[in-house]
Amino acid sequence: MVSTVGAVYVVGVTVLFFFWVYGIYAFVRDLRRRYLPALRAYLEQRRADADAARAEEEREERERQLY
Amino acid sequence: MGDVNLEHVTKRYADVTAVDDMNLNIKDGEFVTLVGPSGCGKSTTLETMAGLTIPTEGTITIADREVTNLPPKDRGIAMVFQNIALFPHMDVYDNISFGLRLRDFDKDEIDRRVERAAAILQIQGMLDRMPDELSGGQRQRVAIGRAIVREPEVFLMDEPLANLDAKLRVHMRTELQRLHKELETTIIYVTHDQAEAMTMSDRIAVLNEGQLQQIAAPLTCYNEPANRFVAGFIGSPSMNFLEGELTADGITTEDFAVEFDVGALDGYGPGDAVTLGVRPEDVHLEENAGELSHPTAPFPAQNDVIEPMGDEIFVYLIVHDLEGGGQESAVTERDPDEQVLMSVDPDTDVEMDERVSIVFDRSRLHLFDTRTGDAITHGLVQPASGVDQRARGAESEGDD
Repeated sequence: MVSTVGAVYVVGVTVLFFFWVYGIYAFVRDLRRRYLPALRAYLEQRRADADAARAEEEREERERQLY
Repeated sequence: MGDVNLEHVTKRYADVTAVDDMNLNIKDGEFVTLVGPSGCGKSTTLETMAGLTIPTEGTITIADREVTNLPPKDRGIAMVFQNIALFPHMDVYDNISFGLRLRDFDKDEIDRRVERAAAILQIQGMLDRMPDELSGGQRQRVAIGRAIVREPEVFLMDEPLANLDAKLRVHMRTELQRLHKELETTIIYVTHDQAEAMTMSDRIAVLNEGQLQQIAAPLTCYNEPANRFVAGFIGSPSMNFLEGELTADGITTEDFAVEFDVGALDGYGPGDAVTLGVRPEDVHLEENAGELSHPTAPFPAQNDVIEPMGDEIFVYLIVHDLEGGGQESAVTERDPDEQVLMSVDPDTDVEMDERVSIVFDRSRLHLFDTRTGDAITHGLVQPASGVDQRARGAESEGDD
């Protein structure tokens, strides 16, 4: 015979387990769909900005050769 | 020797061809202007000459030396940019001498060159001023001075007057012409302003969509345009274009006909779609036809909008779908593309909505292939006895 305390314990652990598992699932999902793409976009933008700055610098350097 | 040659120069960006198989041969001491609408590839062409952009294909030769892949400093050129870009922390002397100091010229030589450039540009008293103490025109002169002291084989100028106000721009045009006369150096100038191109250049190169349309003396481009684009771009206000078709006796449009010897046209005959081009100054009122050696027969039109300019009056004429054959009546259609612009003397008596008879100067008419836009002939003077049948028909209808 399961006591009331035991039943509350099982239900409580089940609820906690559910949210624990859901937390892990949600974290993995957000990592894949939000955080990694955002990080990738940030790195790409940084690289593009650096390329643009380098191109601009080279252009300015070339223009100065024409002064 | 400041000859500049471009052979089959092409510049492609990802999916855009900015310059397409450009061939240019610019002689030593020439003032050549690259002109065309925005995005036509004129600045990119200049940048390939300057070394700011490397062409995808083709070769560039300056002063008999191939420079296609050389950096700008090794090309023997100097460039003046649209954004004047003076160093704000340097005075005029330092700005002008910047390029020479970079190349380790000795002090005496720098002084000599700066003084000479300052004398040419009449900025001797401003050498110790800072850029923010100068007007737009003075700053542009300093930028030109910076190019002059280099004593290059070729000057490249990318819309150097674009940021100046209209009055100063006109003044600087004459300054540049004087400068060219004095230095006798090759100048390659880029502008979208056809008035600048016409007034300053020995030859102008008209570009559109990355392709060279025509390179010739300004008046040749004006009087004998190679195609419809050049005819429409060169000249202000622009040329009138009237779509028509060749017949056995001449050209007929929806509203009038001009007879001439179609057999004299090489490769064209009756049934071919052609476009008649006539400049506003070659459209005349019938009462002035006596002053022309080769007028067409008159045909009816109606004054629509009148623009007095002071030295001339622009009259926008409706020629299409006039009802009543010359009688006072309603105009059924007012499509701006079917208007003809006429330029008349300022003392001419013209009234809004007045019915008039107009003639064209046959010797100044241009014929273009409607399909390709290429010029077929300039001047339709033969036969002198030609009668414009449809115009005559319209007149007789009006008389009834």
